[in-house]
Amino acid sequence: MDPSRAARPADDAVVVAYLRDRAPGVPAVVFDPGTVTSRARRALRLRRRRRRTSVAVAAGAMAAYLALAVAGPLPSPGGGTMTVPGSGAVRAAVARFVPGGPPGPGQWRADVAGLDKEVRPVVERLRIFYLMASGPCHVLEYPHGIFRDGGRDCGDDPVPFDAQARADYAEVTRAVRRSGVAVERIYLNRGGTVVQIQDRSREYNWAYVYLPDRDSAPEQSRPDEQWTHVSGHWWFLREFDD
Amino acid sequence: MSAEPAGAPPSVELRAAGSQDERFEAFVADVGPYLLRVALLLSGDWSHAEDLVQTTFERTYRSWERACAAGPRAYARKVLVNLRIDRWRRRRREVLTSLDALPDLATPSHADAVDSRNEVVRALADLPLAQRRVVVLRHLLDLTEAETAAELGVSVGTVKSHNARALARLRVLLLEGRQ
Repeated sequence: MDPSRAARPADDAVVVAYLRDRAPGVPAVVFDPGTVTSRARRALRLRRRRRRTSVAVAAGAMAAYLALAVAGPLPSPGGGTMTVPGSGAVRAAVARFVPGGPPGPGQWRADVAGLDKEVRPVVERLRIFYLMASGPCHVLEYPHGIFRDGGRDCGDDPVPFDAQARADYAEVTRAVRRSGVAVERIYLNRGGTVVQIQDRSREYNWAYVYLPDRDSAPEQSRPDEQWTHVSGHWWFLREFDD
Repeated sequence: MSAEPAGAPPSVELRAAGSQDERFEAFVADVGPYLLRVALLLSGDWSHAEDLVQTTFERTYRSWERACAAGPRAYARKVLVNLRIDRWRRRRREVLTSLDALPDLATPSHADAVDSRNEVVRALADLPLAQRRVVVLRHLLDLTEAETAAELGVSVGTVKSHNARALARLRVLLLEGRQ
């Protein structure tokens, strides 16, 4: 009897039996194992190469992004500056984990607040125009006199501090400690007070600059100089370390 | 009728000795026809099935150690049934097989047409892919509901519901086909 007429699929069991009966079986084909394997090997090599390329591209992109982010605001052709997204957070993280790096933008306001409250009043009252506040060299230049000590590395013509200079120097350094900012030196320049930050960079110096008479950033004196407003009359300056 | 019982796997005995490629070649020779049948049931198209099998072999070769640990045939079948068959885009048409014989009712010069003429293949192709997978694994490869669920990464309940819907649909399709 013709099975196609006998087994009409009326319920599940019959449908299943019908499928099994009429489904194509295992085809009598012969695979070429050598060809299949060599193609599989080639596909694996291509996949590994693609993966290596992808990793290299991703690593390069990440390195470029980090470099741009850490470099901070960069001058744009039409004037002004531009930054990559997340640049501030990256620089803050770098500043936290890499000693000697510049403070991140997230830290600038707090630093400026400390300097404005603790350091600027003392510097203005004593009318200091140059003070070195870190390392073995002690330098203080202000109307009372010019004083410099710390040994040969600090200059060929040391001038011992007198009692008044020592007291004034100590007052400034105490104010700096209270501010919580790692200050390298303080000096008058560019029409304001420059508070240079300690760093280990051989490329740049960073400073908070108080410019009481300016509402905008000063003209760039060098192409890689970079001014970023922080708050009030305070600016953050990155300048080439020459 | 069929070249061998519907769900029965071929006897695969891989040589323990030999390089990885040698063992893989033995595996290809043993399992290729079985996988081709599964691919044909899932895809409904001979050329498409060959592409699927080659991709399955490539992925199995890539993870050969893992495949050996799980059982290469079961591993390869799992890879095959979980390929995104419906969104597959054919990339190559080289024929890696030689047709000594074709499934029932086949003629070597019209393989695609033959497969599309097979009533079951045609009916399966009318099912949504998820239901098709369940029917093929459950009824044509004789896996249990639990094994089918594990193979597809779904629950047993899902297998049951897909199976019920698929059989209902197949009943209609096959009845229509017979009339």
